[in-house]
Order: sequence, then C-alpha cells, then structure tokens
Amino acid sequence: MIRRPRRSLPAALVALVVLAACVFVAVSGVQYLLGGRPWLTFDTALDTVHGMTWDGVPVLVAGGVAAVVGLVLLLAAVLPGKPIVLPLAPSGRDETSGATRRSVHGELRQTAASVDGVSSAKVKLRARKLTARVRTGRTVTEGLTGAVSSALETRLDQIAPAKRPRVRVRVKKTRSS
Amino acid sequence: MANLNRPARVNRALLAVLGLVLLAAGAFALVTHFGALRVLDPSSPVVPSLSAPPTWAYYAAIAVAVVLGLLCLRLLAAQAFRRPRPGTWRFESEPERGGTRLNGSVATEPLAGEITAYQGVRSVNATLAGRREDPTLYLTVGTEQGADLGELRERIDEDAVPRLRRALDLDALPVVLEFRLTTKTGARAL
Repeated sequence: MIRRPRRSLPAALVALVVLAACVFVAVSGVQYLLGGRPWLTFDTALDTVHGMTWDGVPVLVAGGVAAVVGLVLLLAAVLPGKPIVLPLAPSGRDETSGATRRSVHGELRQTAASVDGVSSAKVKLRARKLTARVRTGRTVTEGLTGAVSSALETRLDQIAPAKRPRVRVRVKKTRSS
Repeated sequence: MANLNRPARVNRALLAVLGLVLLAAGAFALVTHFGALRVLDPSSPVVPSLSAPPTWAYYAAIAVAVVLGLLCLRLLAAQAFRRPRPGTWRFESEPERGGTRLNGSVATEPLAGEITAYQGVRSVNATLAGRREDPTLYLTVGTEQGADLGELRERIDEDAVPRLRRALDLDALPVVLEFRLTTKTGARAL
C-alpha cells in the first residue's frame, strides 16, 4: 500500500477563498434588498471595470495572476508528491501493508544513533538510497561504518520495505586524533 | 474497495478542474491582451456597458452564493474525516422475520484488543470499511521501537484476522495495514 498526500492544504485554501467571496456577495445582495448600504453596489462594481479595455494593464495583471494560480492548483492536483506511506514487501496473503515514511525515517535514525560509539546520527531516506551521517567521539573509527550499516540492514530486514534502499554510511569524527 | 485516503480524490478532482479553468481564463486574457488571438479586439472594452440588474438577479446571486458557500463548508469539513467510512452491516437471512445490524466499530473492538496485546504493539485502530459483499479491514498499528514487522504481520494475518473473518462469516477479508513505528520503548521490553 502506498499513500500519497491528500492535498488538504490547497483544497482548504481554495474553499476558504471561495467561501469568503460567497459571503461577500450574499451579504451585499441582502443589504441591497433590505435597502441598506451594501458593501458592494452594482454601480461601484461597474464603475471599476468600466472603460477597461483588453489591452490595458489591469487585464495583463489579472490574466497573469489567474494563469499562475491556475497552474499552481493544477500542479497540486497532478503531481503525486512524496509518499506518506511507503509500501512494504508483499506477504502473499490477502493483505497489503505500508509504514508511514516519517516513522520509518525516525526509526532508522534512532537505529543508527543507538549503535555503540555513535554520538549523533542523521539519515536521509530516498526511494533507492538510505544515507546515514553519523558523528562519533571516538578517535579510532575503524569498523564503525560497518557496524552502523549492519544495524540499518538488520532493521530494514525487519521492516521489509517493498523497494529496499541501498545503505550508505558516512562517519565524521568530532575529535581529531 | 473502500476509499482509504478519503478526501484525496475529491480534492484532486476539484483542484484540477479549478486550475484548468483559471489557467484557461488567464491564458485567454493574456493572448487577447497581446493581440496574439483576434477573437476579441484588444482595444474593445472588457465589460460592455450594462443597465442596473432587475431585482430577481439579486435573489439569484444570493441563492448561488449561499449554495456555493455551503459546498465550500462541506469541502472544508471533508478534510477532517480521513479514515474510511465505517459501515453498518445487515444480516437478513429471513427478512420478514427481522434482521441483525452490526456496527463496524463494534465488530473490530475484540480484534483491536487482541492485536494490542502482541509484543511490540503500542496502539491499534481498526476500521471495517465497505459493504458486506466487499469488505476491507483497515488497521493502523503503532509499534514500539525494534518491533519485527514481518512477525507482526504474520500474526495479524494468520491469527487475528481469520478469527474476525469467521466471526463475521465472510469468505474473504482483505486487510490494509498501516504501521507507525514509534521510537518509544515499551514497558514490557527488557
């Protein structure tokens, strides 16, 4: 199972903007019908756009803004985005599994950081590559790369993602020998 | 199969349609502005002079604004409901003599309790989605640090789910499992 972002933020923003416009129009209309002073009268609206021609600057600005906003919304709908849930290897049973990418990332970072001799660790999880950068206070770092990468490999075995990333480890010394 | 990522489909469809409309309108305004497209004369006014609208037009505008505004509220509310919709199932072998209704969340409670007791599991959320003819069991499992997912999957698939499947008298019950690995260690861990 893979799960992609839901595009909740752009959808909510669009809903809010359209909602605000609807409230504005409805309130103005009711105010007019009740004989009050509307926020927006038909005459002021007409005055604003009156005398505006297609070769004027306002059309250029409005058209440009509309095209850019439209393109952004279209890309938000079409681009798949980073997966929220990474698929796990199929089990052969009537089941599909996934694990949230964020939690897998945190787990792998914790795995790298808890290796003996590692003082802090950062990991980068891509589709095909897992890079761990660890810092150590040791002066002799021989074997640390192997230890971290075998810990990560073991953890990946247990998690069993559908696409297993290659593990790369970089060690940085915080003390010079 | 039930929709497992609920507002995503409607969000994508709406954003795509709105984006296309805005992009087309903006592009039309720009090409007319630069005179690349001669459907309209660039020196002609954008809005022809109009007389004041009749009163019914105000009513119509208010009605459209209210309906559109309510739809926007519906879209906003939809963002909050993310889990698949749990169904209520009916068991009616002899409809004239009455039937049984089963709420999906009641049916999954024992299952969630059972899986929570497994080694390495912190929290379980189970939803039985879909109709009785094509159900899907949607499980969110939070695990403790170092939990073996393969082993957990096997126990869930081979012990816990078949028990629920037999209890509900189903031929097949596809499972969708979503793991959240936490870095917390469990109280039971040594």
